[in-house]
Amino acid sequence: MNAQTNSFKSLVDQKLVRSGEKDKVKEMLRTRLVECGWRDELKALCKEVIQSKGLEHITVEQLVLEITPKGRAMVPDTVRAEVLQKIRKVLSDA
Amino acid sequence: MSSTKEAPLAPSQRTKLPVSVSPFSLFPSPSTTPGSGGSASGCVHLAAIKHQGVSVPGQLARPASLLLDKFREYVRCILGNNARGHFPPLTSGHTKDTELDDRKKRKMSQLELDIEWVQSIPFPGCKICGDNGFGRLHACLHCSFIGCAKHKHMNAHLLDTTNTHCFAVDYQHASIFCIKCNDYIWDLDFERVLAGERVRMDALVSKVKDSTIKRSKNVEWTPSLEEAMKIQKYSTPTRQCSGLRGLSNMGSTCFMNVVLQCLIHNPLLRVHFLSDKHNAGLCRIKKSGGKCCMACEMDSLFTNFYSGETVPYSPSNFLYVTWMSNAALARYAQQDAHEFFIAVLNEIHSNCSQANAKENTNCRCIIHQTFQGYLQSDVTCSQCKNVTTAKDPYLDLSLNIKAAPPNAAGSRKKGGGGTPNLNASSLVGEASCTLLECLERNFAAETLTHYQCGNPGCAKSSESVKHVTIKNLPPVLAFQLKRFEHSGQGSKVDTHVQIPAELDMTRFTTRSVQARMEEKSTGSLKVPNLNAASGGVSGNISTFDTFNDSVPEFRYSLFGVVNHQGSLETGHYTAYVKSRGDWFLFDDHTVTLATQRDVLASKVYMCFYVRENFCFSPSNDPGSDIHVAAAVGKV
Ligand SMILES: [Zn+2]
Ligand SMILES: [Zn+2]
Ligand SMILES: [Zn+2]
Ligand SMILES: [Zn+2]
Ligand SMILES: [Zn+2]
Ligand SMILES: [Zn+2]
Repeated sequence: MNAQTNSFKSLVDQKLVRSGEKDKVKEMLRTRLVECGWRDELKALCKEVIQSKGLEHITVEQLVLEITPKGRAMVPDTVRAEVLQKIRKVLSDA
Repeated sequence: MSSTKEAPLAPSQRTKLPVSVSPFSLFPSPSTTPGSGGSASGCVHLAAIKHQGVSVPGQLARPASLLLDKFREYVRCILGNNARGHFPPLTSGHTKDTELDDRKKRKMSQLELDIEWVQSIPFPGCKICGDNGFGRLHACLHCSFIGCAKHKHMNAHLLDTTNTHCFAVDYQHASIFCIKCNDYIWDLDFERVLAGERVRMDALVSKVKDSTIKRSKNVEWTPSLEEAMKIQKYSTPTRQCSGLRGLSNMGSTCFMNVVLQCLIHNPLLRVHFLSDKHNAGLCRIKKSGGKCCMACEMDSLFTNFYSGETVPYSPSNFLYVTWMSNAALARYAQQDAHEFFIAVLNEIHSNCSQANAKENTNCRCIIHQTFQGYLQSDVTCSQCKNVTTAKDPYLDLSLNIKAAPPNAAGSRKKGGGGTPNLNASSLVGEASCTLLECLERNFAAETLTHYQCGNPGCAKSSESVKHVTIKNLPPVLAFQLKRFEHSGQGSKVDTHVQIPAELDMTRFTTRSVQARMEEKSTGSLKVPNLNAASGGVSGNISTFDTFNDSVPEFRYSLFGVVNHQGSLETGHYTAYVKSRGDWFLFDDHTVTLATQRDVLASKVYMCFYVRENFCFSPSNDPGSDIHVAAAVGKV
């Protein structure tokens, strides 16, 4: 990730925090992910990974590393679009 | 001793919690990892310091109780920060000293103090790099250092040998990291603190969002040493499988078995019956020479399920009492599980309630405390805009899967706590839908064509709009999906209904619907009056945020499902029930382990949700083991 993207990211983050919308976006995302079953699926996936490796042989850090790309891919496009739209709206209003 | 209702969060007002006999240390859980010293902890390093040099069983050693105190402080800040978005700024929030004094004089309400405290929590940042968001901040449980995980600044602090700091708490999720394990750890004493603080913060958020919520008093109990010793003396350790037992099929009685399994694993009923709130000795009916009491049968079921016996149980007495009490249920061979469920609820209610069993509007029996909520229906006359409001109790919500035919709209199913048919949109022929879609359809506004207006100044027969919303939500929310059309030749709707493991009912509540309508019509949010609830000074401190908002009090998690396979006459019932975090499939006498995926993919007929914000949630339930141990010990 280059520096430009990073500074842009933090700029967006700042705007979201200042407008007080960040928590709302987070809450909305959370609700949507629960509703569409993403959370349950991810939980089941985590359980599978832990069971296949054995509880003693995996740390949370490793689990996060393994699960993150799959979890990202599992987010439905409709949810992505909705979050993006919401963030756009906040940025254009600000 | 503290209670969720009264215990303030603001540090200045905080009562010193009694430190500290750990009830969990007295009851080493059977699932404890060997080698952790018998203490309910997943980390040997933490377990080692918990009781070091302490002779009194269950008492926490000083270093451990200091860690626990620090953890509690951080947890309050973490939860407060996470919830901050729910707290609108206090309008009286000027920080001039004179005004501060003034406000002190006026005595702010506890609610305002709590809100002010939440808003005063500082935003943390990494002490080394200043990262304040994406770097996964952790706070040291031994000192005030805060560092990020991304650049390993917390790791470096814990690895620093000049100080021997070992544990840190994740500043977002409140999980504990142990540097010696090099992993996140669990410990029941810490979990318990976290759970308690969650309940408090959720109660505060709920209160701010909707001051009309009445929370039952939730008294936190830490046993004194004497009490703890007594519990230990009279308890038997809970077996891993207690509460799990198959039920024999006594000839097409699977409809009964599935309902009984869902009742036995209902956390509220479990606590009620296992703490001996109803038994033959206390029973009004048995004392007056009566033979049939369904509550007593329920009590005996619990006794048999927690006896340690694992062979399938025959609930023949229960069936007998059912027949005696409800002639209609005895008539048919194969029964409808939902009908049976409602019959059992009504029967237990009438066996338990005092004096006039007919008047159940304010009944405090275990059934009504567990299942009863209220629906509000508002009918607005299109001519005079007069609104007629009615309140209806319900014990469960019956949802249409398919849209009802237009002429059926407005018809109401009476008794048994049915929901009105309200749907207008047509979705016929759909093979799959979600529970939320069913809810949305069932609670959508409906147009009544021939409405006789009750307003004396109008009294016209015209069109009106009817809105049904949920006024009160019960601790346990039961749903029936209307799969059977009893009128006609008994066809079955086979649509797959996808249910969520977590359900947020906020958007169907009266408050939320009204706020949304208000917003739509005026373009601004109405500011509700908090004074009535807080008894404090005026200050516009609450808004009901309508955009995808969620009130913690209205969140539910799934713990039981009843499935039906085959046709109405010849079909078979099975049930999935969650017990201590795991799902089990109950098929009459057999009990097998299941996955949540199986549960959510199954053909649901009835489903049961329990409010998430209980100290005894079905998933995370260390406390119940103590109840169980105590109750079984007494039997
Ligand atoms: Zn430290
Ligand atoms: Zn850092
Ligand atoms: Zn450790
Ligand atoms: Zn009785
Ligand atoms: Zn009752
Ligand atoms: Zn009218």
